[in-house]
Amino acid sequence: MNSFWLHPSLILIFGSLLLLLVPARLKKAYLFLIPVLLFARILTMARGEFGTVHFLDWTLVFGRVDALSSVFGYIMSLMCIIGTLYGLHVKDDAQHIAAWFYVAGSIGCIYAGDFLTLFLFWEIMAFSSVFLIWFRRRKESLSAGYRYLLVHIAGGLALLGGMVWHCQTQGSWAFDDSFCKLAVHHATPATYLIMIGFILNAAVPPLHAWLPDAYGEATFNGSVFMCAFTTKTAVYALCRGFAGLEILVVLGVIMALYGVVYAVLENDCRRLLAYHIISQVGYMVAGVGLGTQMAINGACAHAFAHILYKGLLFMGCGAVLHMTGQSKFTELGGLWKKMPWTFVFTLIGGLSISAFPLFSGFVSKSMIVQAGFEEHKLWVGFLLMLASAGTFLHTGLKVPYFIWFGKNKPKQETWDRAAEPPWNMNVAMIIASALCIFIGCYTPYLYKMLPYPEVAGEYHPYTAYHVFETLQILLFTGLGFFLLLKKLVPEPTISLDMDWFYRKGGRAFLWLARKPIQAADTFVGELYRVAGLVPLMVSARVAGLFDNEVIDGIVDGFAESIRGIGRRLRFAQRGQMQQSLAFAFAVAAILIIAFLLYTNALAR
Amino acid sequence: MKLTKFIEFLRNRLKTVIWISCAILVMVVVLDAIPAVVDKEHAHTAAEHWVGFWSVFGFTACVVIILVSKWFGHLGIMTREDYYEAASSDVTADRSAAFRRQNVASDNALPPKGGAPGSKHGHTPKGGHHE
Repeated sequence: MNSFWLHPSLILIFGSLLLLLVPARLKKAYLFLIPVLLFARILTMARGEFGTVHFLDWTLVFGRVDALSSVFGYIMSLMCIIGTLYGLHVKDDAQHIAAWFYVAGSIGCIYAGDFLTLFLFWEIMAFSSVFLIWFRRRKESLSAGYRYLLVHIAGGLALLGGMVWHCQTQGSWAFDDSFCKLAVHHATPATYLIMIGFILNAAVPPLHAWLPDAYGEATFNGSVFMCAFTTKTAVYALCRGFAGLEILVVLGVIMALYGVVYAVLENDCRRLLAYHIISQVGYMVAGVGLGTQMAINGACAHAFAHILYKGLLFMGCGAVLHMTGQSKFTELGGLWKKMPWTFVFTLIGGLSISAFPLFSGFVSKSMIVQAGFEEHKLWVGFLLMLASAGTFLHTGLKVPYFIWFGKNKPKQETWDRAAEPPWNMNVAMIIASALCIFIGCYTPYLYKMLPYPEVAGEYHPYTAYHVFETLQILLFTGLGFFLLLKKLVPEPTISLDMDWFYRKGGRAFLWLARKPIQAADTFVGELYRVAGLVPLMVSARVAGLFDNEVIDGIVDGFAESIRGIGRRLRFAQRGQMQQSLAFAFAVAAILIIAFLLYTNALAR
Repeated sequence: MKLTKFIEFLRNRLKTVIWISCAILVMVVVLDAIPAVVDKEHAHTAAEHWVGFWSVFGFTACVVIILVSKWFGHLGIMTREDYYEAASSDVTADRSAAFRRQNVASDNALPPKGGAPGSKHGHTPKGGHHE
């Protein structure tokens, strides 16, 4: 290491370890302080490569600070403040520790300059975030957590395999632009393996089913963290490594529409939001696939805006879940009387994700669509427009309508429990709402942070044409929503998705293990007993004889002589174990110091 | 609370709200048709020059999404809520029953019992709400 460079993830890692020692009355202040320190650290970081460590034959780069990593680092640390504030009243330290380790992993990935470091933090993310699911402590969350973990381990293995393969052929672990060019134009199986690892975390179909499964099942504040970090870290990795890879455009558009279709069917509000993450990340993946400066800017800007508004939406629905214990549309309705402010915040999130003028999505999403049109890929532009109609339909209309209005009456118990959430949750939602509106109104704030600020500076989202285009799409989508309201009434069902294959597939495997394989095992066991056991007994008897006569004789002789030595050494023993240990350490220390002095003297 | 009163105010005048909304829809289309207001020079395709193109696009998109998705869902994608549990094998059922027994305290909506592991989270100032 050239000089001391404080890795931002270390603030969270040490911060979370020290959390256990902080007295209860200072805990809230401490929980607020550490993410703020993290944010301050990221704001003050100079550009360049830092934290270079030589480990065996490799050079690990822990801190590559450039335009791309800075924008992601900024928004992730900001979201860490908001997310921690949202869960400030949670008294279970372990939940905060899991969340902070998760963020630390994510930020570590963002600043990683080589594959090995990236992989290390990638796995930290997977293994810490699973606790955010388990801590809900329901029967379903236990199994959902295991499924989440298994899928991510599979993705991690693909990533690791690809990395090792790639580096074997390249002779370098560097994860940078040279890799990017290589991957896109001369894609090898190794680069595709790495891509699979990345797109699994980005929840690209058919590798996406873990996302609604896990995010719908996590704790009320765990989902707020999860919706921000895993997929957006993957978007960052794709931006870094795969900008311009054609197949990502197709996958991105499929994602954007896939999420919309499933969101129509969904009855759980947090699973609906999860499907809309897939849809929104689709825009980013398509942007990465387009690969122009405008498109990469768009992907980064959209990731930035998305972290805030999706966090806000999960906070709103999380507040409903936290206060009422329900997250299904069929169990909710008419809550405007009880939680009006939560409604307003959720609506702001809904308008932001739908790219309403003056809200954050408007200034970010349009860059990607625009880049699609500029590349003369009209189908990309129009299909993404179609998806944005679907986004408004669900997140902007369906979620607020069926939770806060609607004809459905919740159970008396749910109704009695419903109330505005604690102050810290409200403050977190206010901050996120304010940022969503601020980004939408004052574009230079976001545009100056993007990887290509000069390109972003030339882009103006607030042209009359763009505003009217958006207003027409969204308002007439609203008209369609109210005309077809009867069709949209939620049904108490779940939707089968790609997780069917491993959930039912796992069961088939269990059946296979219990029935045919066990039968085969019994058969082999029987065979073994008849053919193997009898000769074995005979040989054992012979071996026993040999053991008694020959081996014992030798062992006894040894024991006798050792006892003799012990009898003589007993005089040197001074009784206490600790004294002996201290004595041994002291001797060892003296020997080491003497050795060092000696070698120093020799060196001179 | 003022916000609740405001929402109630709007709900009591639902007819007016609907009329205003319709007026806004018409206004957006009319303004879109005036070249002095909306300059369509930068439109990507010829179709975008048609008056109200994006309105029709938005409305059609909404209808298509709803109808296609529901049709798709009713093909068998939407299924009963206990789909994955009902067919579960004896082994997993036993395990989940054991897990339920361990976590009874945090599974139900009662205020947490003192000192029970896992009942610490989710406290609110108004008493032990659990998700």
